[in-house]
Amino acid sequence: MVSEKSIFRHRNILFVYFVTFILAACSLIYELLLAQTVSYFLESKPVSYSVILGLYLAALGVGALSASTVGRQQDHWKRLLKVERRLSFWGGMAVAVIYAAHFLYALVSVFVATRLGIVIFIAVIAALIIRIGFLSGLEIPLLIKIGGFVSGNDKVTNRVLGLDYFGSLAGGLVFPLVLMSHFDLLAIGFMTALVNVLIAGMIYCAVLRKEEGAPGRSVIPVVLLAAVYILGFRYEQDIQQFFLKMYYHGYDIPIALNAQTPPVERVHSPYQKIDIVHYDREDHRFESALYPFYSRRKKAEGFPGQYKLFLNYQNQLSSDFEDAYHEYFAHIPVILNGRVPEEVLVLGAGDGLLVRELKKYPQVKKITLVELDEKMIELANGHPVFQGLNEGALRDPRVEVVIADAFSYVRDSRETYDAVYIDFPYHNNYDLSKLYSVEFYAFVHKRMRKGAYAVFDAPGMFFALEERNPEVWVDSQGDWPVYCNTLLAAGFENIVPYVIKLEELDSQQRSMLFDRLTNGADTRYSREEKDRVAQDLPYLISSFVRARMIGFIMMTKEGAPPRASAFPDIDFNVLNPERFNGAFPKYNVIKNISKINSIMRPTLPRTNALIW
Amino acid sequence: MSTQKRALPILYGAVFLLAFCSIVYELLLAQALTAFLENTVLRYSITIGLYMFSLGMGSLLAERALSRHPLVTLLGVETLLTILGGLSIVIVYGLYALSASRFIFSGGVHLLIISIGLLSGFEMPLLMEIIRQYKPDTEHRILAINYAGAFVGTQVFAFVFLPSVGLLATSFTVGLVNALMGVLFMACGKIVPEESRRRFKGMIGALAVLGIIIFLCLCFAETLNQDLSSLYLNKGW
Repeated sequence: MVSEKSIFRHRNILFVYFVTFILAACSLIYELLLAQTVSYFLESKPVSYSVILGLYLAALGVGALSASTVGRQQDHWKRLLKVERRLSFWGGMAVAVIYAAHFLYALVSVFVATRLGIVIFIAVIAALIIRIGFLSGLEIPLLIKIGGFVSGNDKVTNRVLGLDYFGSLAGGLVFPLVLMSHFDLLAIGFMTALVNVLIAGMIYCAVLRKEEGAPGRSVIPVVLLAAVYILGFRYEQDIQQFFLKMYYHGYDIPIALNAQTPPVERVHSPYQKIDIVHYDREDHRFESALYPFYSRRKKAEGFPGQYKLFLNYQNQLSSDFEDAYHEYFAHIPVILNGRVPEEVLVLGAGDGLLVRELKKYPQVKKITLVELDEKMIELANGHPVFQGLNEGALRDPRVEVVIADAFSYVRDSRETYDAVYIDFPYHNNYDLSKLYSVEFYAFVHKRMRKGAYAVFDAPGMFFALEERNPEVWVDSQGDWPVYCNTLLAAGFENIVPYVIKLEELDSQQRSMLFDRLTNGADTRYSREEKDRVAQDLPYLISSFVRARMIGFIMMTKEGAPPRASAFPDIDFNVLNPERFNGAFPKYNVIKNISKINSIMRPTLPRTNALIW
Repeated sequence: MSTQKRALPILYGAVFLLAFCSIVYELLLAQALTAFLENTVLRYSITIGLYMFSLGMGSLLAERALSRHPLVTLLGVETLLTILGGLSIVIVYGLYALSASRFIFSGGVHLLIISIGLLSGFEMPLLMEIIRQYKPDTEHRILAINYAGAFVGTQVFAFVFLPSVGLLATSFTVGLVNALMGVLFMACGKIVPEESRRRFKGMIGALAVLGIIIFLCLCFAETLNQDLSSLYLNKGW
């Protein structure tokens, strides 16, 4: 026979466990949400991620330390209620606060000083993280204390701790697997905060109502907040669109509010946020006028406008300027090796643009494309912009698309190829670092036949241009020493870096460009403005050229590759023999095994790189 | 009274160091497994989730493990952790080299994660129990020190261990810290009841031997690293 009192007690302790579980999950989701949101804005992911998680943990500690343990059970419930109220405000608003802080950073750095902007951004973010961490840290000690009151048993501490861990587990699984792949950060914040509000309501109804009587005025802000979150969730798309337009159009509020501005297309996948942004051609007036001096691309009827593709806010592709990149990437290794590969392995590059270049060779018999993100393939085959750019390359009968993790593919496959093209995002975190590791390249080495080559676009290499002699150097200040040592360790004998180097314009071309810029039908320039444009022109051209200096590295298993054979009979937009000859910078090889990038000891991304 | 004054800082230090070790093991395993199993997003979530789950199970099971004196039990936990954690990377590579199929490897590795998580989960409740014998009502302080240890662990892992020490040497270093706990706890020997004294001393001896072995491994980490790498690169299922 169980007494009524013990049933009551049992039910109450279950309620404490339930609250512990849910709050632990919420706390972990806030932590991941903050880290994810902030790291989009920062340059070096591992640094920002671990600093944010660390700051949050430290704030949890301070919260736990300062939780008051005196008083009756009801006092603790009241404290917890207060914590939930505050947490639901700061947690729900966190993403918006971070966006706003970045806006503030942009404003201050344009109008006052970049340094001050950075300081303000960091201060706001740190304060937010500490605030939320501190509030979350108060929860568990309070719950342990309450659990002790409810059960009258000391052992309850372990159970509360255990449920805290289980809740963290739930949060840690739900965030990447469910929330990130279906919702935007803003919506995740709203949902989590709503859960906090609900818990607050439950605590009030279950425990405190009898004692306090009718809810006082303190309930009004909570209800209002809940209403704001529900509305926010309902109109989350619109709010998100506003932030995205602000972000991608350089915080130009009129553009962001203008209904004429085409919406940013956002695709969620389990791996990344894919954003397709449509810019007005006027936004890139200078580039659009300059680029035809370099590219002979004819923009036919169906050619898409000025689009950019961003993966996790990183620019991957500009529709107007992509031909240089893909021509250098695909064709220079073919010319260097003097023969067209028959079977090609392409890793990454799900947009299909690299395949578009490769399939121009009739000698290529088979192209295997390994892409991790199925959504990218769907976009490449189904989105009008991508279809217009890749000319249906992935539907070519010679192309086979494999959805797989490239690392596992090269490790586990038994096939070999005549050429391996590697096109991955910038290695700004340790996940991506694995795709630039000695282990990865050793497996690539195994997938290559005799006489085969591999090539990848090598981000983070700097190129030094000297004023007096026009030679280009691969600067060892960048990631070149890491690539070089890693590739040597993986067994490659020949490593050839090359770079897109567009020439500066001569004076005749400059005056043509000047005419094109100033004689537009719709814009009138004053005399002064014309003078300024003319004065700035050489500088603008040279920064355009520098911005397009993207480096590649080609490697072969054996022997020296024959330098420059016959130019293939393909109608190139950008590539020509002079540019080909200028594409090979001088370089040093300084052997240093401590530079080798491996999974066991990643040296990429270099953590001493600047945060911004 | 004087023993209490001496023991408390040591115990708080232990809370800090064990939290540090625990989170470093977690990050270590998550990073190492990216080399072996695909799908990084899922991999990280599952590793860390499984680890959290076993931590929780550990702290729930800890109350059942209290038939012996908590300090003796804790030393037993440290002994096992020194072996499983300190040699975790070697175990992972060894499993990869030896197992005949992906499933055996995957099962073995996840068992390792669960074991290390369970053992780490035992630590906090045991320490709370020990500290309670010196001073009551310190739960929130212990929790705070625990968070601080975890905080330092994440930072040191990201800035020092991963980029400049490497996974293998890190696992040895952290295992060494676990073994050193034994030496640290010698100062608290007074609270161990007479009948468990022998066991207590035996555990400390075992930890000392393990510590020396792990230290030797640490000295030869660079060579071992190359051997393990070639083992990994030449294996195929």
